[in-house]
Amino acid sequence: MVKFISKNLYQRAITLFFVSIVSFLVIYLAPGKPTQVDPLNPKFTPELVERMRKEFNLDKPIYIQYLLFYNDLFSGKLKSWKDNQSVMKKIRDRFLNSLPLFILGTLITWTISFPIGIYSAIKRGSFVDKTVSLLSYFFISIPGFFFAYILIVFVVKVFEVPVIGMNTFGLEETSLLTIFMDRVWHLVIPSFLGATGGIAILSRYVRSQMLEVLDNEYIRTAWAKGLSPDEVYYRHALRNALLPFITMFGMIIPGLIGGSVIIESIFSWPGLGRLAYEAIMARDYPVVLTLNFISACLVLLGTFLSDILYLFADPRIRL
Amino acid sequence: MLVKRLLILVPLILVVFLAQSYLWVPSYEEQTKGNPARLTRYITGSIGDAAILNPILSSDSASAEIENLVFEGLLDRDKDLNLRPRVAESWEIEEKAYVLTNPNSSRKPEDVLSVLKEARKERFPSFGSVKEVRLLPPESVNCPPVYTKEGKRPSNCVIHYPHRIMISLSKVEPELTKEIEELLGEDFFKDFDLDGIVSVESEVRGEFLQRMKDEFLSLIEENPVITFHLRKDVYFHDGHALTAEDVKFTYEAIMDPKNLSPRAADFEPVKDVEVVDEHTVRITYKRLYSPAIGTWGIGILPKHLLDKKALEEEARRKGKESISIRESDFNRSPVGSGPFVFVEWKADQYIKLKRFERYWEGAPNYHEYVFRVIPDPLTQEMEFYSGTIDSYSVLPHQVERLRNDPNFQNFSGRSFGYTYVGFNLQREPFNDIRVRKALAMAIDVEKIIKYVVYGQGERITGPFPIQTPYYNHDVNPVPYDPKRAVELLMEAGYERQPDGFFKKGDKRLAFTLITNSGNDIRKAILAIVQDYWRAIGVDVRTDLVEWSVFVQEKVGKRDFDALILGWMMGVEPDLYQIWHSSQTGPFQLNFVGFKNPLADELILKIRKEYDEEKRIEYCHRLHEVIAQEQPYIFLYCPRWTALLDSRIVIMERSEDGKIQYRNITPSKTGNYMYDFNKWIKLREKSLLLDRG
Amino acid sequence: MRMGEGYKLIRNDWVGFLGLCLFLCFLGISVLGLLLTRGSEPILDPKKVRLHEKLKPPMCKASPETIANEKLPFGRFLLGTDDLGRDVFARMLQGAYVSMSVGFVSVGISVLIGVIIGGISGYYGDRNIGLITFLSLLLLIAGIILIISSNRSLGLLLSCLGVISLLLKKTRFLKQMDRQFIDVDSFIMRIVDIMLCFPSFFLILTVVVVLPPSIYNIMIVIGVTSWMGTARFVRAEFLALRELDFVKAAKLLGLSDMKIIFVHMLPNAIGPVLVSATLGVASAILVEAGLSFLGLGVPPPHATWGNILSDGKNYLFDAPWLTFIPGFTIMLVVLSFNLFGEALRDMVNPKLKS
Repeated sequence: MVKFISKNLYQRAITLFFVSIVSFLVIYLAPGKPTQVDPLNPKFTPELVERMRKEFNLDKPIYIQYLLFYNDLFSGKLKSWKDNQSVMKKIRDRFLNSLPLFILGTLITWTISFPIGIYSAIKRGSFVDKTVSLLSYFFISIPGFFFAYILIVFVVKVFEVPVIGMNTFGLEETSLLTIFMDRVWHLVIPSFLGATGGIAILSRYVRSQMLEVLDNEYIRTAWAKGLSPDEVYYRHALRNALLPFITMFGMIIPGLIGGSVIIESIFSWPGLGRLAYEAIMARDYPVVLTLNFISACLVLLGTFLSDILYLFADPRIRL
Repeated sequence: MLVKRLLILVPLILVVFLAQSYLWVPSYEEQTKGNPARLTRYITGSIGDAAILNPILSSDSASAEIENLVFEGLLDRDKDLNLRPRVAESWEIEEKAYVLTNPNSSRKPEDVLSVLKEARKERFPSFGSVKEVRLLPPESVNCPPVYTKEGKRPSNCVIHYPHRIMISLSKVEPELTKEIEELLGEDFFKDFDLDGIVSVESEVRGEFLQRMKDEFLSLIEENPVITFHLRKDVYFHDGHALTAEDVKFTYEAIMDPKNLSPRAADFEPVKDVEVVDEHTVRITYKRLYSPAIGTWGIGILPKHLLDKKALEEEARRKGKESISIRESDFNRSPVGSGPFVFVEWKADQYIKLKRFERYWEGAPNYHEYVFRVIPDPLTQEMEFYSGTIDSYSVLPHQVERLRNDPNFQNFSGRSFGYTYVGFNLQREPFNDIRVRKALAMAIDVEKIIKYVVYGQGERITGPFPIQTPYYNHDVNPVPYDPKRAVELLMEAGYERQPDGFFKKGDKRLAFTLITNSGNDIRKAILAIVQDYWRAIGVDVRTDLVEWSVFVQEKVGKRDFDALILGWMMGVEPDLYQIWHSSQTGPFQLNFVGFKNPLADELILKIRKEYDEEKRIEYCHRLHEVIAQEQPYIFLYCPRWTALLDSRIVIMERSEDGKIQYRNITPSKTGNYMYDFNKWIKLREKSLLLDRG
Repeated sequence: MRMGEGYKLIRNDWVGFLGLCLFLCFLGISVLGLLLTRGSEPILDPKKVRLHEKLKPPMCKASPETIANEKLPFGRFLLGTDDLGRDVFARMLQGAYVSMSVGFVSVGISVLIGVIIGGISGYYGDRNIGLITFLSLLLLIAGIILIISSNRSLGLLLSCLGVISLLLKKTRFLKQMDRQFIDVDSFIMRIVDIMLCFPSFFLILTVVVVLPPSIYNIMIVIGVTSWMGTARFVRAEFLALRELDFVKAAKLLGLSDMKIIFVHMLPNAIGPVLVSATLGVASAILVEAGLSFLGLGVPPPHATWGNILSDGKNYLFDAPWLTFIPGFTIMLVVLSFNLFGEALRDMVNPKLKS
């Protein structure tokens, strides 16, 4: 067991190292240099542009830049090129903004997918099942920003409440409860948008897993034994059908660093997605690389967690 | 079955909880009409967040918007583009000129002195402004600091001057050098060997030394001097008084190479900034530089918060070795002397300012100013309609739609710049003026103005902003004449092929037209121009390039055929960087490669000329020359448009204390916010101000 | 899939069949679109700017000025005009072709890469790469990278070292050190892991921002960032198939590897690949729309549905058809792909036979 874990970790560490190199290369070999200094602005002389290059270490050879960068990253000294703030601080602030969105989205997705998926499997072929399938397909197929606009226009015109931003701007009341509820409301529409795709996919997956399990011999035995439907479904079938989802749990972790650029732009939500987008557009290398690195770490952590969970969950696997 | 019940209850509770939160949120109605505090707040929407709130360091428009309210400069421009005193209540411009005497010549310095003293102003008009002519003994002077690539001040660099004659004038006389040369005669300057006469002791050698000599050593050196008299009642937001020390500090901070200030080029011609007393500051320039006075609109920084001592304190507090101005927290929490005080900045969300009660012109009418970051144009528009923001970056078709809506007032004004199609003159076929003229004639610019920018633009013919006197209105625009265009192309040696396209020899008349992505109007123009050119038989491909790549690869490396871009100009007619033949190197601004000796001469003349009449004359001539050559197809000067709630007006107190209201009128530059501290939003639309 | 299966499909799963029909429909429309709008004198011109006709609603009559110059079906703009007076109907037709080709080409690229990599991993999986071989390959790649990034001398040195050691690895000296290091399967799977560590949209964004905007670059980028799923499927299938009798028999018969892979194994493994390819096209079209929204999509004058949609969003209150028409069209097309793909999956998956 210990051997398995350590071998796993060791391989992941090597992967991480290679990821750091590859992401570093992709960005540095790209055309287009950082744009804080705008060469088309008549006030910027070439000397100034050159001086900025030096300041930001762009004139040293590439492997030195690599070492300098990762050294700064780990010591927390890394500064963003756009506005000289500490990269980790920026990421942490935006992360705290994206986190509620992510948590609520995941919560909605998981709590709604399961009942729907299970019900569809039980009542396979029924009207409800077919409607749910069709709806799921619609939600997967609609372009995200199109749906977002329609939703926003609808809510604003019909309900006349603000939808964008993290909280209502003109909120004068300061009672804690109102503030809290206001924030919850602002979370609803964006996380709902993020969740629709997830619900569609996850519920269908739940459904197909349930169907697969229900086909098995031991379920037929359970029916034959005369157990009640509830017992057959929820005590016997469900447990086995849930197996792959336990491992999927681990894969939630990489989602922490995600954040859809499109949804965040439309809803003026200052989250990680927008941070990443702005950093890429401004060639703010420190921020981009740090985000990449963190995301890679989380992916590796997530898959590692999945592997471990799978170990515990599936009684058939024994090392 | 517990599991089953859970599976049903949990999502149900969640959905209900989320849905009920709707009931707690104030509707738009409550936020705007039902909220009296809303009237005292001015909220603006912006697509991008500010980057750094320090006027000497920032280079983006969002930061500039905030800085204009938090900081203040010595002067700015009013709605007719005249200089308007701000922190400085008055100023004088004088000149000091130094004439070197030749120790090897037969003439003694005293003789030269008397010649200059007795110059009569009837023959030599510049001498009419002479206040004093004095003989200076030989002296050794420390070199003024020079900022180069190495960035260091030259140490121990000393110039040993021989006898010099100093002439003080009460104003800048551009003809002075010529007149002195005439007075002293040709042979005075014939055997003048600068290297022998003026010796420079310097530790730094080589190219640097040569540059020094070129810069500072001239037979006749003219130094314009501006003396500013500051107001005595200007305070920073933390209560500290603003003095001449702060002005000097701002200048030094800009020039300090460590700070990488984008404004350094503006202040490079400054020789010295002297603090005469607490409220007087004297600035001496190395040479004649007419844009000088305008550069002092830059926000004044508080010395006591950003000087070496303060930065060391901050470094110590943070546990770091040292901090430069760029890294200081000041940039995220600025303190200036302008009408609004900085309160809070939440990154990518909003910036809050509140009014400064001790502002010298009187506290602004608005209590608060909020800058909201709303990246999506559509949601911005919706917030505007709902009344939660007061202004945003409105598009022409939206103004068009709301033009007749009584709830909104719109303004437009000419902006300070223009949009153009630029040709790479170093590439075929653009080196042929006939081809350029033909391409210009093939475009119906009026139609573009009418339909793409909804009439929010004005046809231009030359490189100056149309609202300044430097623009030559006598130059006619290139007519829309596709037939003549075809004729011109044929004259240039192109033959029309059966498939409709032109060919010369075996090369088709084909090229690529590019512009930067992210600008819808330019994208539209790209498509339209391509269409027009296709109609006369020119094969044009188009490309949208992302801004950084556009700047670095295409423009910077001169790797383009034709492009669509725009310039935002200042008031000053200094076109050196864009049109002088020396600025055609990589990453310089004359990227079309325009080289015309007459134009070069005119540009340099304009730079040196202080007399406004003459300047206008030169500019008109330059305008003609450039229009003739057609290195650009000058398209139009865009009008900026703004949409405001019609309840916003200007409130002033007249002399007898009565309150007066008047409408907001934009200035010539397109800036309608110059009076912002006088704006106020009324509860109801004022009937007095109903426009018919 | 034999004929009988196909018939059953139609009877049991009419939804999937509907998807297939819609899919063929759109295929037809895109071919039609290509024919009608290509060339410099097309029958329906998507590029022609008519400023005086801007923002006209669907089914409106064209002005006399326009009718004098060109022919329009029924003398009307069937789907209205956009902000430059271009015919939305013509643009949608051209967009059909462009969007479809973006989808198919990028999926084609990703399937190709995925099949090759997955196949190698699955078939040659337990072959080993020696330590020396691995290190020399590493040196070679590092050297090439350094050369590209203008560190010529060091790069040249490293690449030469790499090449030399590759050539010399059979010599006695190095052969001893050329121990078993890592097997091909693990190696390739590590590479897949590395690629998976990059969040896909983020990666596409980074590359698209950096490359010059062109339709081909976008296709390539989407293709190169989405092959990982296919590779995994193919590998899994090959690993399973490799142990089956018919493959072992083929090996014993002395058939060449290539023949075994392409003639015998691949057709059996193709099932999940087809499913993910179908779903991949749908996803590529959505990604392209997303990129257009951010301003990074296919540059003008190509019209894609994503382009029309994101250009139109500025005019939502003035000309809502500019947003709704492409939006719903994208939705329908992607829907049809998804339905069809799901039906395929049900067919191919032996466990779901009921």
